[in-house]
Amino acid sequence: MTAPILRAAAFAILVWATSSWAQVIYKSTMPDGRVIYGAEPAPGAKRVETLKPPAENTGVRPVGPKDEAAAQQGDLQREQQAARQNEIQQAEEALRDAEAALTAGKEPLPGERLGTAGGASRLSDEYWERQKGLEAAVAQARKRLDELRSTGR
Amino acid sequence: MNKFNVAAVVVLLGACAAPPQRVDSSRTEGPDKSYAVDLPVGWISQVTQNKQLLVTRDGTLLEYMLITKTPPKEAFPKTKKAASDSMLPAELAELEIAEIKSEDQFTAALTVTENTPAEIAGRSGFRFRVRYKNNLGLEIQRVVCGFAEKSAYYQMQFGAPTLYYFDRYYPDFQKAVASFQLSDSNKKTSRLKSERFLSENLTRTDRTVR
Repeated sequence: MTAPILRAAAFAILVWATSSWAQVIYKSTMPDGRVIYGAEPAPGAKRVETLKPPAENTGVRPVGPKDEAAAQQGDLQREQQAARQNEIQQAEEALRDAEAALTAGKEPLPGERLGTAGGASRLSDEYWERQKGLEAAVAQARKRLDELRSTGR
Repeated sequence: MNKFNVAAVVVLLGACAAPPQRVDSSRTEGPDKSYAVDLPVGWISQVTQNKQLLVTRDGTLLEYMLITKTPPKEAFPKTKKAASDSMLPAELAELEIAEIKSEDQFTAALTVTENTPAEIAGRSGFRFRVRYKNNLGLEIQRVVCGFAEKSAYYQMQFGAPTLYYFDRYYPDFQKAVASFQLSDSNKKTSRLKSERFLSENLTRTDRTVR
């Protein structure tokens, strides 16, 4: 009873081993240096090697969930860094704009210089209010930039 | 010359117009900047003398991607046929298959395992897959995609031995095809062509189904 089973098992193993053995790529190096890949060695080859399947863990692709997650994390960090850099650039531009507005705003607008009884002139309260606003805008822009720069450290 | 397979031809084509480079950043522009494509990082790319973009990981005999842009009149040099933007994708595919068959006695005996219209870069084109055995009995598979424009014929192909290599790297080729884009100057005409193709093709499919 067991003999036929054993024979069948042996035959199955033989078939499996034969088919596995056949699953080979031969790399034949010819005397002139040419390389030929085939299902059998090239006649007259100087050297014949068998190729193994390319290993899963070679190359640069992520090979497991852990690597995949690490790669994704890296991508996320790069994106975040790019976004932060973009924010800093915008804040720098905003500061430059505010400083330019402050410089340009030093000149009184029509109606902001008032004549005095003595024949001289003085700047109106509106002028000084406007200056305060411009200075506040500069201070706010500078604060925002400093905050962004400090959070990245 | 040993008539081996297309990979050998590719090696010859690749004979050193520009030095090979490792693909460090996947987005890569074609030699004349008319297209851009995502290539697998870590592979080696080279621009051939014919301004083709050749990419491989383990060597062109084991797997390669080849992106070709040629004038339509020079699309099929071996069979001396021209491509045209008025051709149906199936006609272009037949010309391309004939071109491969004319390479050597081994590709002449190829079997077409898939042949279907495909949209590439928003453009109506073809995709087919063939298999054949080389002179040492090793089965090679190739997938070729392409489309014709008025000014150029674009073709992307991937080839590898069925054993181990084809299935392993075919997804990389599919990603490359999916990411293939023509530059801005080509986009408008492509979109129009694509819309026309889709409407024609849908009608044709309807007829087939009935």
